[in-house]
Amino acid sequence: MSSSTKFLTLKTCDDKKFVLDEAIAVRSQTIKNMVEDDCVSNVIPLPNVNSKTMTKVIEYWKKHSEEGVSKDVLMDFDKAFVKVHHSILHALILAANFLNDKEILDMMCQEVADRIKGKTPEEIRKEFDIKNDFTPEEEEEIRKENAWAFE
Amino acid sequence: MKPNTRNPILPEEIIFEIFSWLPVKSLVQFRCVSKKIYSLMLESEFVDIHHRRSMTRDGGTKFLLRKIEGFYTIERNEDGKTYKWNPNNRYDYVMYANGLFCMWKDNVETPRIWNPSTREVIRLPNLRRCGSTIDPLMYNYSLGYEPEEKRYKVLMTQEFKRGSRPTKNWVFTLSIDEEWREIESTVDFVPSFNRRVCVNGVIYMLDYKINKAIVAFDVKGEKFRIIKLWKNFGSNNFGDYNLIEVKGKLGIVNNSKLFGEENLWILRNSRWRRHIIRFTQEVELGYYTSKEICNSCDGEIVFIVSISHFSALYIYDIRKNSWKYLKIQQLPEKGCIYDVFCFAESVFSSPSLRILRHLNL
Repeated sequence: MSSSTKFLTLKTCDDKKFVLDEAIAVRSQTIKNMVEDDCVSNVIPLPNVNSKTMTKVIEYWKKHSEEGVSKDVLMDFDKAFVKVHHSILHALILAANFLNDKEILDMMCQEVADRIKGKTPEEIRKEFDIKNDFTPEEEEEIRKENAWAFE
Repeated sequence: MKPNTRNPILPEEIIFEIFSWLPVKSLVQFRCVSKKIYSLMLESEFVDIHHRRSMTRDGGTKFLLRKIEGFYTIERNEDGKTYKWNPNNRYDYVMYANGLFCMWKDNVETPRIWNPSTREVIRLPNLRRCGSTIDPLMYNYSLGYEPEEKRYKVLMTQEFKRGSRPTKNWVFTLSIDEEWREIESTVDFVPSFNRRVCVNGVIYMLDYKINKAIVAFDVKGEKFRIIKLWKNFGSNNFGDYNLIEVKGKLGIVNNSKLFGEENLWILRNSRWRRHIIRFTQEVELGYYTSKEICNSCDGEIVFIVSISHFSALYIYDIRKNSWKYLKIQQLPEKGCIYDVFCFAESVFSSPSLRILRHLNL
Protein backbone atom coordinates (compact mmCIF):
# COMPACT_ATOMS: atom_id res chain seq x y z
CA MET A 1 0.00 0.00 0.00
CA SER A 2 1.36 3.41 -0.84
CA SER A 3 2.10 5.92 1.86
CA SER A 4 -0.53 8.23 0.45
CA THR A 5 -3.37 5.94 1.54
CA LYS A 6 -6.01 8.07 3.15
CA PHE A 7 -8.60 6.81 5.55
CA LEU A 8 -12.09 8.07 6.07
CA THR A 9 -14.29 7.54 9.09
CA LEU A 10 -17.95 6.83 8.43
CA LYS A 11 -20.48 7.16 11.20
CA THR A 12 -23.80 5.33 10.91
CA CYS A 13 -27.11 6.40 12.42
CA ASP A 14 -26.60 4.13 15.44
CA ASP A 15 -23.30 5.90 16.22
CA LYS A 16 -20.98 3.13 15.06
CA LYS A 17 -17.78 4.20 13.35
CA PHE A 18 -16.16 2.54 10.35
CA VAL A 19 -12.62 3.43 9.28
CA LEU A 20 -12.15 2.80 5.60
CA ASP A 21 -9.57 3.36 2.87
CA GLU A 22 -10.72 6.38 0.88
CA ALA A 23 -10.07 4.57 -2.39
CA ILE A 24 -12.71 2.02 -1.36
CA ALA A 25 -15.20 4.44 0.18
CA VAL A 26 -15.42 6.48 -3.03
CA ARG A 27 -17.29 3.59 -4.62
CA SER A 28 -20.13 5.58 -3.11
CA GLN A 29 -20.78 8.50 -5.43
CA THR A 30 -22.17 10.44 -2.48
CA ILE A 31 -18.93 10.07 -0.51
CA LYS A 32 -16.87 10.72 -3.64
CA ASN A 33 -18.64 14.02 -4.20
CA MET A 34 -18.02 15.01 -0.59
CA VAL A 35 -14.32 14.16 -0.92
CA GLU A 36 -14.00 16.03 -4.20
CA ASP A 37 -15.80 19.09 -2.86
CA ASP A 38 -13.42 18.97 0.05
CA CYS A 39 -16.20 19.04 2.57
CA VAL A 40 -14.96 16.02 4.47
CA SER A 41 -14.10 16.71 8.06
CA ASN A 42 -12.88 13.90 10.23
CA VAL A 43 -16.07 11.95 10.29
CA ILE A 44 -18.64 11.46 7.53
CA PRO A 45 -22.09 11.00 9.04
CA LEU A 46 -24.43 8.57 7.31
CA PRO A 47 -27.74 9.43 8.96
CA ASN A 48 -29.76 7.03 6.79
CA VAL A 49 -27.67 3.90 7.19
CA ASN A 50 -27.40 1.62 10.22
CA SER A 51 -24.27 -0.28 11.19
CA LYS A 52 -25.64 -3.70 10.27
CA THR A 53 -26.35 -2.54 6.72
CA MET A 54 -23.08 -0.63 6.46
CA THR A 55 -21.15 -3.77 7.42
CA LYS A 56 -22.73 -5.55 4.46
CA VAL A 57 -21.98 -2.66 2.09
CA ILE A 58 -18.35 -2.54 3.19
CA GLU A 59 -18.07 -6.31 2.80
CA TYR A 60 -19.18 -5.85 -0.82
CA TRP A 61 -16.90 -2.89 -1.47
CA LYS A 62 -13.86 -4.69 -0.09
CA LYS A 63 -14.47 -7.84 -2.11
CA HIS A 64 -14.97 -5.87 -5.30
CA SER A 65 -11.84 -3.78 -4.65
CA GLU A 66 -9.58 -6.77 -4.11
CA GLU A 67 -6.97 -7.27 -6.77
CA GLY A 68 -6.68 -10.42 -8.80
CA VAL A 69 -10.15 -11.78 -8.01
CA SER A 70 -11.56 -13.75 -10.92
CA LYS A 71 -14.94 -12.96 -12.47
CA ASP A 72 -16.29 -16.33 -11.36
CA VAL A 73 -15.34 -15.73 -7.74
CA LEU A 74 -17.05 -12.34 -7.83
CA MET A 75 -20.15 -13.85 -9.40
CA ASP A 76 -20.35 -16.47 -6.65
CA PHE A 77 -19.81 -13.77 -4.06
CA ASP A 78 -22.62 -11.64 -5.53
CA LYS A 79 -24.96 -14.62 -5.65
CA ALA A 80 -24.42 -15.32 -1.98
CA PHE A 81 -24.52 -11.61 -1.13
CA VAL A 82 -28.09 -11.11 -2.33
CA LYS A 83 -29.45 -14.13 -0.46
CA VAL A 84 -30.49 -12.17 2.58
CA HIS A 85 -33.68 -11.64 4.49
CA HIS A 86 -36.25 -9.35 3.01
CA SER A 87 -35.79 -6.56 5.54
CA ILE A 88 -32.01 -6.51 5.02
CA LEU A 89 -32.56 -6.44 1.28
CA HIS A 90 -34.77 -3.38 1.58
CA ALA A 91 -32.33 -1.72 4.00
CA LEU A 92 -29.48 -2.38 1.56
CA ILE A 93 -31.44 -0.84 -1.29
CA LEU A 94 -32.11 2.30 0.74
CA ALA A 95 -28.44 2.46 1.76
CA ALA A 96 -27.21 1.96 -1.81
CA ASN A 97 -29.63 4.65 -2.94
CA PHE A 98 -28.39 7.09 -0.29
CA LEU A 99 -24.74 6.25 -0.93
CA ASN A 100 -25.44 6.44 -4.65
CA ASP A 101 -23.80 3.12 -5.47
CA LYS A 102 -25.37 2.09 -8.78
CA GLU A 103 -23.77 -1.34 -8.76
CA ILE A 104 -25.25 -2.47 -5.45
CA LEU A 105 -28.55 -0.74 -6.17
CA ASP A 106 -29.00 -2.50 -9.53
CA MET A 107 -28.03 -5.87 -8.11
CA MET A 108 -30.42 -5.56 -5.17
CA CYS A 109 -33.29 -4.25 -7.27
CA GLN A 110 -32.83 -7.20 -9.63
CA GLU A 111 -32.98 -9.53 -6.67
CA VAL A 112 -36.23 -7.98 -5.41
CA ALA A 113 -37.66 -8.16 -8.96
CA ASP A 114 -36.74 -11.85 -9.07
CA ARG A 115 -38.51 -12.45 -5.78
CA ILE A 116 -41.72 -10.61 -6.69
CA LYS A 117 -42.16 -11.52 -10.35
CA GLY A 118 -44.52 -14.40 -9.58
CA LYS A 119 -46.63 -12.55 -7.01
CA THR A 120 -50.23 -11.44 -7.37
CA PRO A 121 -51.24 -7.76 -7.53
CA GLU A 122 -52.58 -8.06 -3.95
CA GLU A 123 -49.22 -9.32 -2.73
CA ILE A 124 -47.46 -6.46 -4.53
CA ARG A 125 -49.65 -3.90 -2.77
CA LYS A 126 -48.77 -5.48 0.56
CA GLU A 127 -45.09 -5.74 -0.27
CA PHE A 128 -44.69 -2.07 -1.17
CA ASP A 129 -47.48 -0.68 0.99
CA ILE A 130 -49.40 0.60 -2.04
CA LYS A 131 -53.04 1.55 -1.72
CA ASN A 132 -55.37 0.25 -4.39
CA ASP A 133 -57.14 3.33 -5.70
CA PHE A 134 -59.02 1.59 -8.50
CA THR A 135 -62.72 0.93 -8.08
CA PRO A 136 -63.57 -2.79 -8.20
CA GLU A 137 -65.08 -2.20 -11.65
CA GLU A 138 -61.96 -0.47 -12.95
CA GLU A 139 -59.74 -3.19 -11.58
CA GLU A 140 -61.89 -5.88 -13.15
CA GLU A 141 -61.71 -4.06 -16.48
CA ILE A 142 -57.90 -3.89 -16.42
CA ARG A 143 -57.64 -7.54 -15.40
CA LYS A 144 -59.94 -8.52 -18.24
CA GLU A 145 -57.90 -6.57 -20.77
CA ASN A 146 -54.75 -8.30 -19.61
CA ALA A 147 -56.24 -11.70 -18.91
CA TRP A 148 -53.46 -13.59 -20.75
CA ALA A 149 -50.90 -12.55 -18.16
CA PHE A 150 -52.91 -14.15 -15.35
CA GLU A 151 -53.21 -17.52 -17.08
CA MET B 1 -42.47 -9.19 19.76
CA LYS B 2 -39.76 -8.34 17.28
CA PRO B 3 -39.59 -4.62 16.71
CA ASN B 4 -38.65 -4.76 13.04
CA THR B 5 -41.03 -7.20 11.40
CA ARG B 6 -42.21 -4.61 8.89
CA ASN B 7 -40.05 -3.83 5.93
CA PRO B 8 -38.81 -0.32 5.51
CA ILE B 9 -41.08 1.43 3.03
CA LEU B 10 -39.37 1.95 -0.29
CA PRO B 11 -39.71 5.33 -2.01
CA GLU B 12 -41.27 5.63 -5.44
CA GLU B 13 -38.01 5.96 -7.34
CA ILE B 14 -36.88 2.65 -5.90
CA ILE B 15 -40.12 0.95 -6.91
CA PHE B 16 -39.44 2.37 -10.40
CA GLU B 17 -35.96 0.77 -10.30
CA ILE B 18 -37.24 -2.62 -9.11
CA PHE B 19 -40.07 -2.74 -11.64
CA SER B 20 -37.66 -1.93 -14.46
CA TRP B 21 -36.10 -5.38 -13.93
CA LEU B 22 -39.39 -7.30 -14.18
CA PRO B 23 -40.48 -9.47 -17.09
CA VAL B 24 -43.32 -7.95 -19.11
CA LYS B 25 -45.74 -10.67 -18.08
CA SER B 26 -45.41 -9.60 -14.42
CA LEU B 27 -45.68 -5.91 -15.33
CA VAL B 28 -48.87 -6.53 -17.27
CA GLN B 29 -50.34 -8.28 -14.19
CA PHE B 30 -49.25 -5.44 -11.94
CA ARG B 31 -51.02 -2.80 -14.05
CA CYS B 32 -54.01 -3.16 -11.73
CA VAL B 33 -52.01 -2.60 -8.52
CA SER B 34 -52.76 1.15 -8.45
CA LYS B 35 -53.31 4.12 -10.73
CA LYS B 36 -49.78 5.31 -10.10
CA ILE B 37 -48.28 1.98 -11.15
CA TYR B 38 -50.58 1.87 -14.16
CA SER B 39 -49.39 5.23 -15.42
CA LEU B 40 -45.75 4.51 -14.52
CA MET B 41 -45.75 1.74 -17.09
CA LEU B 42 -46.88 4.18 -19.78
CA GLU B 43 -44.07 6.65 -19.13
CA SER B 44 -41.55 6.67 -21.95
CA GLU B 45 -38.74 7.02 -19.40
CA PHE B 46 -39.77 3.78 -17.71
CA VAL B 47 -40.47 1.95 -20.98
CA ASP B 48 -37.02 2.92 -22.24
CA ILE B 49 -35.02 1.84 -19.20
CA HIS B 50 -37.02 -1.36 -18.86
CA HIS B 51 -36.35 -2.21 -22.51
CA ARG B 52 -32.62 -1.58 -22.13
CA ARG B 53 -32.54 -3.87 -19.11
CA SER B 54 -34.46 -6.55 -20.98
CA MET B 55 -31.54 -6.80 -23.39
CA THR B 56 -29.33 -8.19 -20.65
CA ARG B 57 -31.91 -9.71 -18.29
CA ASP B 58 -32.32 -13.48 -18.25
CA GLY B 59 -35.27 -14.31 -20.49
CA GLY B 60 -35.51 -10.69 -21.64
CA THR B 61 -34.72 -11.46 -25.26
CA LYS B 62 -36.49 -13.86 -27.60
CA PHE B 63 -36.55 -14.77 -31.25
CA LEU B 64 -39.46 -14.16 -33.57
CA LEU B 65 -39.91 -16.24 -36.70
CA ARG B 66 -42.25 -15.47 -39.53
CA LYS B 67 -43.57 -18.34 -41.57
CA ILE B 68 -46.38 -18.44 -44.07
CA GLU B 69 -48.95 -19.48 -41.46
CA GLY B 70 -47.97 -16.91 -38.86
CA PHE B 71 -45.47 -15.94 -36.21
CA TYR B 72 -43.61 -17.95 -33.61
CA THR B 73 -41.68 -16.73 -30.63
CA ILE B 74 -38.80 -18.81 -29.38
CA GLU B 75 -37.42 -18.70 -25.88
CA ARG B 76 -33.69 -18.35 -25.71
CA ASN B 77 -33.11 -20.15 -22.47
CA GLU B 78 -35.68 -22.92 -22.45
CA ASP B 79 -34.11 -25.12 -25.06
CA GLY B 80 -35.73 -23.25 -27.91
CA LYS B 81 -39.29 -23.72 -26.65
CA THR B 82 -41.69 -22.27 -29.19
CA TYR B 83 -44.92 -20.35 -28.78
CA LYS B 84 -47.21 -19.96 -31.74
CA TRP B 85 -49.14 -16.83 -32.49
CA ASN B 86 -52.34 -17.38 -34.28
CA PRO B 87 -53.10 -14.29 -36.22
CA ASN B 88 -56.09 -14.31 -38.52
CA ASN B 89 -54.18 -12.21 -40.94
CA ARG B 90 -50.94 -12.75 -42.69
CA TYR B 91 -48.49 -9.96 -43.19
CA ASP B 92 -46.15 -9.57 -46.10
CA TYR B 93 -43.61 -7.28 -44.50
CA VAL B 94 -42.24 -6.84 -41.03
CA MET B 95 -39.78 -4.41 -39.54
CA TYR B 96 -38.43 -4.42 -36.01
CA ALA B 97 -37.31 -1.56 -33.78
CA ASN B 98 -36.74 -1.47 -30.05
CA GLY B 99 -39.14 -4.21 -28.96
CA LEU B 100 -41.91 -3.41 -31.46
CA PHE B 101 -42.80 -4.72 -34.89
CA CYS B 102 -44.39 -2.85 -37.76
CA MET B 103 -46.31 -5.15 -40.10
CA TRP B 104 -48.19 -4.53 -43.29
CA LYS B 105 -49.58 -6.17 -46.37
CA ASP B 106 -49.20 -5.48 -50.03
CA ASN B 107 -51.87 -3.07 -51.24
CA VAL B 108 -53.23 -2.42 -47.78
CA GLU B 109 -52.54 0.98 -46.43
CA THR B 110 -52.75 0.75 -42.71
CA PRO B 111 -49.88 -0.93 -40.97
CA ARG B 112 -50.10 -2.51 -37.52
CA ILE B 113 -47.71 -1.98 -34.67
CA TRP B 114 -47.35 -5.16 -32.68
CA ASN B 115 -45.80 -5.58 -29.28
CA PRO B 116 -45.39 -9.33 -28.84
CA SER B 117 -44.42 -8.89 -25.18
CA THR B 118 -47.67 -7.19 -24.10
CA ARG B 119 -49.56 -8.92 -26.92
CA GLU B 120 -51.03 -5.63 -28.03
CA VAL B 121 -51.57 -4.56 -31.58
CA ILE B 122 -52.05 -0.94 -32.51
CA ARG B 123 -53.74 0.09 -35.67
CA LEU B 124 -52.44 3.26 -37.27
CA PRO B 125 -54.87 5.62 -38.97
CA ASN B 126 -55.52 5.65 -42.66
CA LEU B 127 -53.76 8.23 -44.76
CA ARG B 128 -56.71 8.83 -47.03
CA ARG B 129 -58.55 10.60 -44.26
CA CYS B 130 -55.80 13.21 -44.35
CA GLY B 131 -57.00 14.30 -47.76
CA SER B 132 -54.68 12.48 -50.14
CA THR B 133 -56.42 11.45 -53.31
CA ILE B 134 -53.62 9.99 -55.38
CA ASP B 135 -53.45 6.24 -55.66
CA PRO B 136 -49.81 5.30 -55.36
CA LEU B 137 -48.28 2.10 -56.52
CA MET B 138 -46.96 0.86 -53.25
CA TYR B 139 -46.89 1.70 -49.57
CA ASN B 140 -43.78 1.11 -47.62
CA TYR B 141 -43.32 1.43 -43.89
CA SER B 142 -40.28 1.67 -41.66
CA LEU B 143 -40.32 1.71 -37.89
CA GLY B 144 -37.79 3.76 -35.99
CA TYR B 145 -36.97 4.55 -32.41
CA GLU B 146 -35.42 7.79 -31.31
CA PRO B 147 -33.53 7.26 -28.03
CA GLU B 148 -33.18 10.93 -27.01
CA GLU B 149 -36.85 11.80 -26.87
CA LYS B 150 -37.74 8.12 -26.48
CA ARG B 151 -40.28 8.16 -29.30
CA TYR B 152 -41.29 5.63 -31.90
CA LYS B 153 -41.98 6.91 -35.39
CA VAL B 154 -43.27 5.20 -38.48
CA LEU B 155 -42.02 6.42 -41.85
CA MET B 156 -44.33 5.83 -44.77
CA THR B 157 -42.84 6.00 -48.24
CA GLN B 158 -45.14 6.08 -51.22
CA GLU B 159 -43.65 4.65 -54.33
CA PHE B 160 -45.18 5.68 -57.62
CA LYS B 161 -44.88 3.93 -60.91
CA ARG B 162 -41.20 3.98 -61.61
CA GLY B 163 -40.05 7.35 -62.81
CA SER B 164 -43.51 8.84 -62.99
CA ARG B 165 -43.14 10.83 -59.79
CA PRO B 166 -40.62 11.04 -56.95
CA THR B 167 -41.50 9.15 -53.81
CA LYS B 168 -43.34 10.98 -51.04
CA ASN B 169 -42.92 10.51 -47.32
CA TRP B 170 -45.07 10.78 -44.24
CA VAL B 171 -44.30 10.35 -40.56
CA PHE B 172 -46.45 9.16 -37.68
CA THR B 173 -45.20 9.50 -34.08
CA LEU B 174 -46.69 6.87 -31.78
CA SER B 175 -48.56 8.24 -28.76
CA ILE B 176 -48.32 11.80 -30.15
CA ASP B 177 -49.66 12.13 -33.67
CA GLU B 178 -53.25 11.63 -34.62
CA GLU B 179 -52.62 11.84 -38.33
CA TRP B 180 -49.81 11.22 -40.76
CA ARG B 181 -47.61 14.29 -41.35
CA GLU B 182 -46.08 14.75 -44.77
CA ILE B 183 -42.38 15.59 -44.60
CA GLU B 184 -39.98 17.07 -47.10
CA SER B 185 -38.75 14.32 -49.40
CA THR B 186 -35.26 15.50 -50.20
CA VAL B 187 -34.16 12.11 -51.47
CA ASP B 188 -36.02 10.16 -54.11
CA PHE B 189 -35.69 6.49 -53.24
CA VAL B 190 -37.40 3.13 -53.30
CA PRO B 191 -36.53 1.12 -50.19
CA SER B 192 -35.93 -2.56 -50.76
CA PHE B 193 -38.16 -4.93 -48.90
CA ASN B 194 -35.48 -7.04 -47.39
CA ARG B 195 -34.17 -6.26 -43.97
CA ARG B 196 -33.95 -2.66 -42.93
CA VAL B 197 -32.72 -1.71 -39.59
CA CYS B 198 -32.97 1.10 -37.07
CA VAL B 199 -29.72 1.78 -35.24
CA ASN B 200 -29.33 4.58 -32.70
CA GLY B 201 -32.19 6.66 -33.98
CA VAL B 202 -31.46 6.20 -37.69
CA ILE B 203 -33.43 4.00 -40.08
CA TYR B 204 -31.23 2.47 -42.79
CA MET B 205 -32.78 1.23 -46.01
CA LEU B 206 -31.22 -0.23 -49.14
CA ASP B 207 -32.31 1.67 -52.22
CA TYR B 208 -31.48 -0.40 -55.25
CA LYS B 209 -33.61 1.36 -57.81
CA ILE B 210 -32.51 4.96 -57.84
CA ASN B 211 -29.44 5.65 -55.76
CA LYS B 212 -27.92 2.17 -55.46
CA ALA B 213 -26.91 3.14 -51.97
CA ILE B 214 -28.21 3.24 -48.45
CA VAL B 215 -30.77 5.85 -47.54
CA ALA B 216 -30.54 6.88 -43.92
CA PHE B 217 -33.48 8.54 -42.19
CA ASP B 218 -32.76 10.45 -39.01
CA VAL B 219 -35.78 9.66 -36.84
CA LYS B 220 -35.47 12.74 -34.62
CA GLY B 221 -34.72 15.38 -37.25
CA GLU B 222 -36.83 13.62 -39.91
CA LYS B 223 -34.14 14.19 -42.55
CA PHE B 224 -32.76 11.90 -45.23
CA ARG B 225 -29.20 11.37 -46.36
CA ILE B 226 -27.45 8.97 -48.70
CA ILE B 227 -24.64 6.66 -47.64
CA LYS B 228 -22.51 5.30 -50.46
CA LEU B 229 -21.65 1.61 -50.51
CA TRP B 230 -18.12 0.34 -50.83
CA LYS B 231 -16.38 -0.22 -54.15
CA ASN B 232 -17.12 -3.53 -55.84
CA PHE B 233 -20.42 -3.84 -54.03
CA GLY B 234 -22.25 -6.59 -55.86
CA SER B 235 -25.19 -4.52 -56.97
CA ASN B 236 -26.61 -7.23 -59.20
CA ASN B 237 -27.83 -9.31 -56.31
CA PHE B 238 -29.13 -6.72 -53.92
CA GLY B 239 -31.64 -9.17 -52.54
CA ASP B 240 -28.87 -11.21 -50.98
CA TYR B 241 -27.88 -8.45 -48.61
CA ASN B 242 -29.25 -7.83 -45.17
CA LEU B 243 -28.83 -4.74 -43.08
CA ILE B 244 -28.16 -5.55 -39.45
CA GLU B 245 -27.06 -3.87 -36.27
CA VAL B 246 -23.64 -4.78 -34.99
CA LYS B 247 -22.84 -3.41 -31.55
CA GLY B 248 -24.59 -0.11 -32.22
CA LYS B 249 -23.26 0.21 -35.77
CA LEU B 250 -24.75 -0.48 -39.16
CA GLY B 251 -23.63 -3.73 -40.77
CA ILE B 252 -24.33 -5.41 -44.10
CA VAL B 253 -24.03 -9.12 -44.58
CA ASN B 254 -24.64 -11.33 -47.56
CA ASN B 255 -26.99 -14.22 -46.84
CA SER B 256 -26.72 -16.09 -50.08
CA LYS B 257 -24.45 -18.82 -48.80
CA LEU B 258 -23.69 -20.62 -45.63
CA PHE B 259 -20.32 -22.17 -46.08
CA GLY B 260 -16.72 -21.10 -46.14
CA GLU B 261 -16.65 -17.52 -45.08
CA GLU B 262 -18.73 -14.41 -45.53
CA ASN B 263 -17.96 -10.74 -45.49
CA LEU B 264 -19.60 -8.54 -42.95
CA TRP B 265 -19.26 -4.84 -43.66
CA ILE B 266 -19.52 -2.47 -40.75
CA LEU B 267 -19.94 1.28 -41.08
CA ARG B 268 -17.56 2.94 -38.66
CA ASN B 269 -16.83 6.67 -38.80
CA SER B 270 -18.33 6.92 -42.30
CA ARG B 271 -16.14 4.11 -43.59
CA TRP B 272 -16.93 0.52 -44.46
CA ARG B 273 -14.74 -1.96 -42.62
CA ARG B 274 -14.69 -5.62 -43.51
CA HIS B 275 -15.03 -8.40 -40.98
CA ILE B 276 -14.86 -12.02 -42.03
CA ILE B 277 -17.28 -14.55 -40.57
CA ARG B 278 -16.00 -18.08 -40.84
CA PHE B 279 -18.61 -20.78 -40.80
CA THR B 280 -17.72 -23.84 -38.81
CA GLN B 281 -18.40 -27.33 -40.10
CA GLU B 282 -21.50 -27.67 -37.94
CA VAL B 283 -22.97 -24.58 -39.56
CA GLU B 284 -22.08 -25.74 -43.05
CA LEU B 285 -24.95 -28.18 -43.12
CA GLY B 286 -25.47 -28.00 -46.81
CA TYR B 287 -29.04 -29.07 -47.43
CA TYR B 288 -31.10 -26.30 -45.98
CA THR B 289 -34.43 -25.29 -47.35
CA SER B 290 -34.29 -21.80 -45.98
CA LYS B 291 -32.07 -19.61 -43.97
CA GLU B 292 -32.23 -16.10 -42.67
CA ILE B 293 -30.05 -13.71 -40.77
CA CYS B 294 -30.76 -11.34 -37.98
CA ASN B 295 -28.77 -9.65 -35.32
CA SER B 296 -29.45 -10.19 -31.70
CA CYS B 297 -29.48 -7.55 -29.04
CA ASP B 298 -25.89 -7.81 -27.91
CA GLY B 299 -23.56 -7.97 -30.88
CA GLU B 300 -24.38 -11.49 -31.92
CA ILE B 301 -25.45 -12.42 -35.42
CA VAL B 302 -28.02 -15.14 -35.81
CA PHE B 303 -28.23 -17.47 -38.76
CA ILE B 304 -31.30 -19.63 -38.95
CA VAL B 305 -31.22 -22.84 -40.90
CA SER B 306 -34.13 -25.07 -41.83
CA ILE B 307 -33.41 -28.50 -43.04
CA SER B 308 -36.11 -30.94 -44.09
CA HIS B 309 -36.84 -32.16 -40.58
CA PHE B 310 -35.71 -29.45 -38.22
CA SER B 311 -34.77 -25.82 -37.78
CA ALA B 312 -31.91 -24.46 -35.81
CA LEU B 313 -30.34 -21.19 -34.90
CA TYR B 314 -26.62 -20.63 -35.20
CA ILE B 315 -25.52 -17.66 -33.20
CA TYR B 316 -22.25 -16.03 -34.11
CA ASP B 317 -20.57 -13.90 -31.48
CA ILE B 318 -18.60 -11.23 -33.30
CA ARG B 319 -16.46 -10.35 -30.28
CA LYS B 320 -15.37 -13.88 -29.48
CA ASN B 321 -15.53 -15.10 -33.07
CA SER B 322 -17.39 -18.16 -31.80
CA TRP B 323 -20.63 -20.02 -32.51
CA LYS B 324 -23.53 -21.14 -30.34
CA TYR B 325 -26.31 -23.51 -31.36
CA LEU B 326 -29.99 -23.57 -30.45
CA LYS B 327 -32.34 -26.21 -31.77
CA ILE B 328 -35.91 -24.99 -32.19
CA GLN B 329 -38.56 -27.20 -30.61
CA GLN B 330 -42.10 -27.74 -31.86
CA LEU B 331 -41.80 -25.80 -35.08
CA PRO B 332 -43.87 -27.18 -37.95
CA GLU B 333 -41.51 -28.66 -40.45
CA LYS B 334 -43.09 -27.40 -43.59
CA GLY B 335 -42.70 -24.02 -45.15
CA CYS B 336 -39.99 -21.48 -45.44
CA ILE B 337 -38.95 -19.19 -42.70
CA TYR B 338 -39.34 -15.72 -44.15
CA ASP B 339 -37.89 -13.67 -41.37
CA VAL B 340 -36.13 -14.08 -38.10
CA PHE B 341 -35.75 -11.35 -35.53
CA CYS B 342 -34.28 -11.13 -32.11
CA PHE B 343 -36.29 -8.85 -29.87
CA ALA B 344 -35.97 -7.56 -26.35
CA GLU B 345 -39.13 -7.30 -24.28
CA SER B 346 -40.86 -3.94 -24.11
CA VAL B 347 -43.84 -2.78 -22.05
CA PHE B 348 -44.70 -0.06 -24.58
CA SER B 349 -48.40 0.59 -24.91
CA SER B 350 -50.30 3.40 -26.56
CA PRO B 351 -53.76 3.85 -25.06
CA SER B 352 -54.38 6.89 -27.27
CA LEU B 353 -54.56 4.64 -30.32
CA ARG B 354 -56.93 1.82 -30.88
CA ILE B 355 -55.53 -1.33 -29.37
CA LEU B 356 -56.70 -4.55 -30.91
CA ARG B 357 -56.34 -7.55 -28.67
CA HIS B 358 -54.06 -10.31 -29.76
CA LEU B 359 -56.84 -12.60 -30.89
CA ASN B 360 -57.76 -10.43 -33.83
CA LEU B 361 -54.35 -9.30 -34.90
